[in-house]
Amino acid sequence: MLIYTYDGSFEGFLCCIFEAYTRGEDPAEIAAAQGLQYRIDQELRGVPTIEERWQRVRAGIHHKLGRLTWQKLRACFCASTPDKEMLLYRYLKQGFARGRVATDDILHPDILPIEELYRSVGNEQQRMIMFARFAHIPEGVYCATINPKHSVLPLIMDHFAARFNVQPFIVYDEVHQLAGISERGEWYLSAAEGLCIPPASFDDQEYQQLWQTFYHAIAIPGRRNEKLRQQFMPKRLWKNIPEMHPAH
Amino acid sequence: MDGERKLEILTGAAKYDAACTSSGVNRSALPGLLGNACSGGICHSFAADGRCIALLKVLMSNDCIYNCAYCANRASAEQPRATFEPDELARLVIEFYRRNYIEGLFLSSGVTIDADTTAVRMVQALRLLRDSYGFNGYIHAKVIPGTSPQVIDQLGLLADRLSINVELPSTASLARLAPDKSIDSIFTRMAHLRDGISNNRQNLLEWKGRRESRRSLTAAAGCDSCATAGTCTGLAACRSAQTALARPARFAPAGHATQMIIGASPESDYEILKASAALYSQYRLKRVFYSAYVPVGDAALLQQGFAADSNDITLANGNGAVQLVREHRLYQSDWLLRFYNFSVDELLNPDAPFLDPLLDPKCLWALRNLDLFPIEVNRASFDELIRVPGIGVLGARKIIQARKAAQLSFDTLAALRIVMKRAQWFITCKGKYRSGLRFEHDSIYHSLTSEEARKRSYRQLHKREQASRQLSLFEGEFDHKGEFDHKRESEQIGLLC
Ligand code: SF4
Repeated sequence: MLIYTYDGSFEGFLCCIFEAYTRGEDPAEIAAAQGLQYRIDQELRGVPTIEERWQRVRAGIHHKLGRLTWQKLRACFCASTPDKEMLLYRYLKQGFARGRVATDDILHPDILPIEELYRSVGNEQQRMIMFARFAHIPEGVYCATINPKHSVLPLIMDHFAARFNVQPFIVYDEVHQLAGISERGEWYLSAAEGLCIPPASFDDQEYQQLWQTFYHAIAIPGRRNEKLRQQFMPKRLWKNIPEMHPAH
Repeated sequence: MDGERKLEILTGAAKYDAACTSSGVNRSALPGLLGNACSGGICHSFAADGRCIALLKVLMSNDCIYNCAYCANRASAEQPRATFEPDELARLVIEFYRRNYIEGLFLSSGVTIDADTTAVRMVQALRLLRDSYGFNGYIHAKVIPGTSPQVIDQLGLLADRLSINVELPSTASLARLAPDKSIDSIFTRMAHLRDGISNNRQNLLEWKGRRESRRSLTAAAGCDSCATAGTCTGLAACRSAQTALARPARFAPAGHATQMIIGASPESDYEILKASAALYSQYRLKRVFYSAYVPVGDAALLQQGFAADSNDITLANGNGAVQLVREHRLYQSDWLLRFYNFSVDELLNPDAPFLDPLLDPKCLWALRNLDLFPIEVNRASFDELIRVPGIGVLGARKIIQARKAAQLSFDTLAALRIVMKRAQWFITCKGKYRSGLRFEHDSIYHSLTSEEARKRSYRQLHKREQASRQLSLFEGEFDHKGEFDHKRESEQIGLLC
């Protein structure tokens, strides 16, 4: 059984596509080298990440399948689904073989999973844009901790960096141990294992309190609808949403 | 009074206002300014009643001199009163925005002293936000009845969206329930907004034209390679283009809206929708919001007075639970008018002037027009598809995309997120009607209504309503379910910004 391993980056993954394509191989699995469990029946091949190669794959996708599909694949790569590489690989195989006819065939067994994954990643991206809550810490930086089910941090930083270009801030994804750091509209990602965010400033606690007051005052009493609320604002996210915590 | 108590009072007083959307305008972020606006709108939280919270929705003041019968802030009501200082409010908006709690501000007010004094206070707060605090996010401001056009113009240059409430679906009801408000002034101000917005659009277009012609001029004259970078005054044509180059300020770029209270007066759904359709076409409104009215205390009397001269007492005088469902049905119908190319007369008529509480309006229409169905999903046009109950705009697009590759069957349709419970009755796949179903009015009606009845469990709604015996001014934008979600979702949750 042939297994491709790569460095875990999207570019690295594109190089796996290049590898399979140029060698005419059909790998049984594509997996990030880090954390891979080796089994005796596996033949591992480490695929190097080479710019010229992934640029060619990128150009190929743009040319054959269009910019929107490129964005879709980019987003799906942020998914935390363990077999995302193979789903993307099969999708691309169809796409390269049949062009846009394939990507329009949204019910095809190799196409549908990516459509669904895209929906799921997109929803999570949107939720983080809605629910990331910043707190002002004494050093003058605004910090938000998020716990998304997919690793969507790279997909939301553009939004926050533009909007909050007047305040330095950090968005910390505690699930995927990744931090997005931004100042004056620029941003970059950094691995952040066990990052410890200092407690909010005194001022900030006051605004959290005011926000809770607003949150409770805006609801219409007697029209409680817990199901609807949780449908839009899932409970798993409440831990990082201050208005969902009991009043101080 | 401390700030927290003030916020509590002025939020409580605004909570019945229906509009909380932050949609309708795209404004990119600018270096040095805080915030931007996305035309899809972004929600930031959901209240215990399930309604979305996008904006800090508050009143400038609830200390009102008027006495509108349906309103909790009317002068004669016993109520704690509070008023924001402009700077106090502006700071609150900024601090909330910086923390990603909100998308911006929704500012309304009771009438203190007189309309202009109140509106000028609002202008002060907005000016602080825009000019002193560099706020570039979304602002929706309500135009207080009786505000002079000059002050409206100032508001429009600061806010993204303005709205003037018509309050009630007919002028007769308005005269009766809101005696202090001049009906004429509501409509003249609305026309003023419409004209202000369209003039501004026109100015922007002309400005774009000037910019273009200047660009081609400078390109032709080779200004690009010139060290003065186009600031020279050598070319006569160029000079005049340059003086006219300042971009006109934008006036209410997200348009204007209004709100109607449902059930405080005897109009039928047909009359209400006719009124909305007229408002949309005459005043080019972006939205009409509907709000279910819940009578309590001395205001309950007001309704009994109406019941006597009303033809259909059940709905016009229904309890709050019925009004809530009605509000929901009106929103759905409004949606059909704006995005599905339906006309009011297709949905209702003077002989059948009420929507069915058990059926969504598209199902109601389809059942009355069974001769148009079933349609073949593999062949139907987009316009035909969106008229099928259970198929929304998104669903129709997916169908058209998917059928290019393969013929669709009942099983594959479900994967496209079509609401099959409803759609199955009105379609064929590859020429065949779904086996086990009977294409016949009564069985369809029975199946669709029992689904609805299960879903919204009337008794429960009724109980909830009785538990809340408060007087409501404006009722919330009830959340739509099912296929109507699609458009709404994309309006609230624009993925791309
Ligand atoms: S509806 Fe407006 S004007 Fe009338 S009483 Fe209420 S706050 Fe005052």
